[in-house]
Amino acid sequence: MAFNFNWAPLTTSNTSSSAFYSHAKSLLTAALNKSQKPPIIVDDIFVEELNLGQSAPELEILEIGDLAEDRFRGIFRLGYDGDAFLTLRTKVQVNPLNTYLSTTPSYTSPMPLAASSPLTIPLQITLSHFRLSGFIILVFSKAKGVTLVFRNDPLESLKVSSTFDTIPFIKDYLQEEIERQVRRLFQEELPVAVHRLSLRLWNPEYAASLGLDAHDPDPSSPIDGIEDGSGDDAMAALINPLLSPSDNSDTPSIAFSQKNLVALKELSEAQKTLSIRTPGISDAVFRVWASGGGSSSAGWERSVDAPSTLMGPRTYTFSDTGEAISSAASISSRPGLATSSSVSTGGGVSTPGTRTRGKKKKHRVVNLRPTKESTHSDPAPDKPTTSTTQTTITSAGRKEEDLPTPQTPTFPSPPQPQLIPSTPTTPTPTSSPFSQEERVVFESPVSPTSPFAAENITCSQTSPSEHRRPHLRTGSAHSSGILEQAFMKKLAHEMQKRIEEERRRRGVVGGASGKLWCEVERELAGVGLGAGIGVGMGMGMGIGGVGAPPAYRQ
Amino acid sequence: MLTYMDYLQNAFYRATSWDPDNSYVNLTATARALLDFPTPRGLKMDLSSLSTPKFGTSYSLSNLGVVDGSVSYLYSSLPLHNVHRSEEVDLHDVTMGYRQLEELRSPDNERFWEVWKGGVRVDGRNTLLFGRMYLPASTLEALYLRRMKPTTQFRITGVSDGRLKSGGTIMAMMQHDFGKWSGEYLYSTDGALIGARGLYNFGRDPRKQPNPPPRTSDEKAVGRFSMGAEFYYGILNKSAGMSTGLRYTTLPTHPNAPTTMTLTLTPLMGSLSATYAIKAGEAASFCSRFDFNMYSYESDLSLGCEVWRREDVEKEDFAGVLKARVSQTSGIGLLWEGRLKHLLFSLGAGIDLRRKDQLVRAVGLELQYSS
Repeated sequence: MAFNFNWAPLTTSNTSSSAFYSHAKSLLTAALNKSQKPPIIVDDIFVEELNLGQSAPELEILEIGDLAEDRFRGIFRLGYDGDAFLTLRTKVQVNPLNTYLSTTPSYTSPMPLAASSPLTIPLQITLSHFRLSGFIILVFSKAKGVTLVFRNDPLESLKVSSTFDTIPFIKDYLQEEIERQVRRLFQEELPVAVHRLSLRLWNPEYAASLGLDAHDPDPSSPIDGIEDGSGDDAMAALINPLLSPSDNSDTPSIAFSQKNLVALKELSEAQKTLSIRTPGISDAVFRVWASGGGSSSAGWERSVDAPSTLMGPRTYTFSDTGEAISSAASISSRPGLATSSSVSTGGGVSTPGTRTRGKKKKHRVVNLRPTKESTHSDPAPDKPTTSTTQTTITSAGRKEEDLPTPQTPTFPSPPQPQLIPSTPTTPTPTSSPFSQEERVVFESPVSPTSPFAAENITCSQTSPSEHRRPHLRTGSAHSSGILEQAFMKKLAHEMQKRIEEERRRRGVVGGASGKLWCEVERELAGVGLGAGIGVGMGMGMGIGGVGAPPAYRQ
Repeated sequence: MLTYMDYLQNAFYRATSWDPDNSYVNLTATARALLDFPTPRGLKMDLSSLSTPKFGTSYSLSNLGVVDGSVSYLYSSLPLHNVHRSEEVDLHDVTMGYRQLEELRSPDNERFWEVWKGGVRVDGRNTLLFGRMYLPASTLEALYLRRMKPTTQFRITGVSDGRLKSGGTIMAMMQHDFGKWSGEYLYSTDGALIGARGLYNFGRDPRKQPNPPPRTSDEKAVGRFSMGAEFYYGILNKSAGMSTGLRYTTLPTHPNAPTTMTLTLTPLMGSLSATYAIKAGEAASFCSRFDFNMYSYESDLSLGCEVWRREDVEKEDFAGVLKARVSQTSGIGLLWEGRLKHLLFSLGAGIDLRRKDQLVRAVGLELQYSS
């Protein structure tokens, strides 16, 4: 999933772009001269020319690890190979002894007679041919601000040309030094600057310490059309501050393409109504949404004990550490959707209030990585540990386990006719089966005046102490079928890939050769069945799984 | 105006017959005194005393935005009897002006320094210790000066400051003065800088000829031509610097007005500086300097003068001196130094004509009292 930057206004030579450039130049000039300059630079630094080039950078969402109204964690990939350039002009002191004297205390200065006589030379430096490629980890927490970290050194190459290009020694020195500085800028100064800025915007205490007014991103009226029955756990909707436009609504700073908004709207409505027409997001894989703690352990056992019930979707259980992944091929082990539907039909045991209280621990992971990059997930799962999170919900979840689950068409498993009749399809948001539970709803804002304002990511509150465990997917009786299934597909694909590798390595052809192997394949078969491949298949499935697993083909 | 501690240090030089003018560093001392004099900023008060001939103290308080001060102590192993109080000190000793060089004198014979008592040599080497603490910045400056031989002086200066890299800096310098030539070798811990500089005087060697020279007008030297060079190399930052210089100055025996001309050259940086200073009578000196850089074509012309005001025409007593300088780059500087009752004062201002909004850059008044 990538961003589409509208770069054209910057490349055309109209008045708005020239105004932008002059504004950017003045901002950059001020920023360069604000901090204390090294003594070798004896004049102000002027930005002579700034051009962002013809091509836009590429920004790709690799993974969204956590998503809530007060926090966000995601991994992005940034790539740039364009023709942007920047020309700076200043004056430098080339006498090293003069620079030395300006830093050493005067009392111990050697006080040279004339050897420190200054020689200032105008210097013009052009930075061009930027090649950037880096992984950005962006963590947002309302309390702690935005943390932006480059996981690697994003600067691949950079060309420095200056007044001293004819002198190879100085040219090399400048190239080295400026590359070092740019690297430092990306890896040290930019994260600090972003963090400080975010603290100033979102942390009133920090802003107060600076004597500023904190910008409170909480909207006065939550755009949550659905009121939860229980007042204490009412979901506080929040416009995602990372995507929210600036305060002056007449100049929206971010505009989303109509096409994407339509697609997101479609997706949100599909979730609200449990419509089977869920639009697919291309190149996106959703990791597991959630699965019940108590029920998931039950699901695990069932998957081992009862391999005959391989039809239908599967439940993935993670231990607290997130290491173990098990799959169960039982329909009844999908507590999430079952719970939701049971609530809506009134057949549930627990009231919404108790349930929402029970869903304190929850962690959502949406993995948008291209499938070829995913290499983790052990096909032979460790011994699963029962999640310790569920206390009040386990009973409810277990009782609701047997309720049917709606099936979305994105998952190519055989149709399950018993699902649809039992699922209520009330389209009004207030009575949506997901309304009392966590939701990730991409929708256009309610306010009709700003149709492009933001995507509202409406989620329930989770206890902040839990969100520190990045791989904890605790069970909860709430779900999102699409994400779950998408993650299943991804897992199946990964497993198959692994098995293929393993098989190639061992030279195993045909049927299973070991006991463990059998188990793995049995698990796999649960996925494979969706494409009509049965238990005990050997090579056929393997071949199918090399490029795109059968479960992946739509 | 010199601080009291600098005045005491000069007194120590005089008492130990060390000539600081015979050094490459002071090749352009006259031009610096007339063109680069510092103007005081803010209000500063010095309270000093030489409580014993060997021990001096000085307290200083300045108000430049914030109030800060310094406490200084000085110890000299040689009693300084040539130090005067502020009400009777010669203003020429505490202000920097035209530097009239004297005839070179031969260094003392080492034997004259020996003191024997009962068959045992009891003489010591004269030492000066000095420390100054700046408050509240907690910067400490220290000086150790040892007159090792008639031709040699050893000098260590140090600064301790927590804001400096590695907490401080120490510079050690060995100085030789043989009259005919002098040399200095230094090492600084800041950047591991080593340096050497030397000055050679053409003409008569004071060590070889009888002193004073023959008084016949033909052989009498009326001027001195000197040449020197300096070289520095920072070991850690691998940077070097050097310069060479020439000076011609008239001696007191010269029939015309005293004149000093210097030419310094920094070959690596391509800069060249020529000065010309003349003392037009007892009460006025003028100086000009032309700087030029042959790489950047930057140039500067500076003009300066000092005019003494007589208190009493008959008594040859001076009440004050007005210094003025004008330069293309640093603007106009004005300084009036003098004595008011028991106080020495120094009133100055810096004016930058290029900046209309902030014409007067720095105004200051410095007061000194010593007893």
